[in-house]
Amino acid sequence: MTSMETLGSGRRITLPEVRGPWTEALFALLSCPSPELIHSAELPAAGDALENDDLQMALYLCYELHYAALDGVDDRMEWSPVVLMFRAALEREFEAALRELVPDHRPQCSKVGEELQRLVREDDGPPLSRYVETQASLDEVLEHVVHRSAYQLKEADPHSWAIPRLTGGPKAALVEIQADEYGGGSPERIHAVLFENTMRALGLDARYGAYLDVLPGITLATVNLMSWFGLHRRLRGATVGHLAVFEMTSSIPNRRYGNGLRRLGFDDQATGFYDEHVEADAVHESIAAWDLAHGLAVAEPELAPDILFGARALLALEGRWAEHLLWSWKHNRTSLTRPLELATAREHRY
Amino acid sequence: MSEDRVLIVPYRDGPYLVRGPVILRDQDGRAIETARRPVALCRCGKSRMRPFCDGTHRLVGFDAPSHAERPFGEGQAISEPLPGRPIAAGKRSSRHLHPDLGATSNGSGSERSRQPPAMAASARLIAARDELGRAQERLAGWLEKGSRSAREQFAMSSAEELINGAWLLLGDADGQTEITQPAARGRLSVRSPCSCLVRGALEAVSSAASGNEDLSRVSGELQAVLSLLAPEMGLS
Repeated sequence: MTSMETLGSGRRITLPEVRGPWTEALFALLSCPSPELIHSAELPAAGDALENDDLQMALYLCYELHYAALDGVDDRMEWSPVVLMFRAALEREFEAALRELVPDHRPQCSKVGEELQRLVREDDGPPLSRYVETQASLDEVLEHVVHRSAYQLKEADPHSWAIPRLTGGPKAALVEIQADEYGGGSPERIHAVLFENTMRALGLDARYGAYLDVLPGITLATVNLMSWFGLHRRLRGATVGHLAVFEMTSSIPNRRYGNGLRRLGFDDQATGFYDEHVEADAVHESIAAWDLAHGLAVAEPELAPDILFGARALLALEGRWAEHLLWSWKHNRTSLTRPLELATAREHRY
Repeated sequence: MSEDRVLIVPYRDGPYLVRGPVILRDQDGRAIETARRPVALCRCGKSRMRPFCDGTHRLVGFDAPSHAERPFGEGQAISEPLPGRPIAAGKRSSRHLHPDLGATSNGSGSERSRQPPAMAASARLIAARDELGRAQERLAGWLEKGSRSAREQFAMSSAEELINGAWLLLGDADGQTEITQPAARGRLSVRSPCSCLVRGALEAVSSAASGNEDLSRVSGELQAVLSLLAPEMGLS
């Protein structure tokens, strides 16, 4: 069971349950002082890697080694060549699935800003934020927040990996955005902290990783996308494209999420995170689209296709994730791997 | 950037970003809090937290370049009045410049000759509402189409203003008929537009609309609305 202890100020997560051969193999590597190489060819085919709960969890945990301590795992495993090779095998599956989902597109570098605007304008993703605003039940809203905790409790961190990999105008633009994400000098304004407040106001467990065990593969995939981009210098263009579209598609949905909570009777303790993002991302989106993404395409034209890849991969994965939530709720099912009551009840036993 | 100067950047299709030591006050001198830096000021006019941007420009398809627009061609002074704008200083007597429903008009004869038909007020107002609805729908449909010239953009914003003003006039004029203003209508800064302002705006739409079929129809529909509303505007 994933429970998470906050020891000191550091993040520490307990390993979740084994989900299949991929997580099983990873746990074997992580628990062994001198692990032996596992050949991914010996593991079963991933099928649809993007919605494979087991594979996405294994990949998520490989990345978590860079963000948090894993209970019972030697911190040096972060740079264990054997673990990194295992992660590379997972990433190959992930990248193959993404490249299939998102066709290659080579824009003119002078058109990247416009192209991003067009992508966002023409995106016809499922109306998740409208549903949350007007119809979602309390249980559904709680599930939505639990899904998002996979990212929001470390909001902005995956994109920060790109800072040392950029120069000049794009670097200044990214730092300007990230500084605001991290509270502009006030720890209580850090966006991840605002999300903790929201979780607590909703009666949820705000500890880092507390709900990891109930998150399906498609949710983990949306976060793995950012970590995969962020941790690879070769994919810095994709990080930038991802952040640009993330910011460009944030203000309006966040207003709707806040409205959904207000409709259900919650106050600004709960909505603070969303209200903050309406205003903050209205500032960020212009900087991210033009100064950062467009600026990077002009400075390093060979990155233009990657910028668009990052943008399109985000829209495609978010679309599939939103579709999963709406489909589950429409069929009166939980969108998590098991209903939240159960997860919460189990939490309380600890 | 240097912290002792203010930099304002209008972003394409987006807000003004303001960096540097700027303070905001409302017209009564009360401070408007700007905790966040940079400040994003609404440029599309449709934000729900004005003067700040809230991303609504994306919903309404706001379309504006980052650079300064030059709608009157190279070399023309920027201070030159807009073509067809109603308030061309010195050309009209001062009483026309005030929002005053009762103002009599000494505008051009051709406009004065368009007398409204003798209809009962309620029927007239309902007819005006229908015409106005058509004009608004047509304008909205046209807004969804792609790129537009500066002249067309100008005509579009004039028509929008005119439509908003007409809805207000309709609301004010309505005594017994059931006329409801669409919830989605825009906001108008002038509560009761004076007749020359309205006619001038219509002239502006007509002249700027020449050659654009959709806008010409909007202009025709607005002409009909204003004829129907003439008594309320002090024109009859």
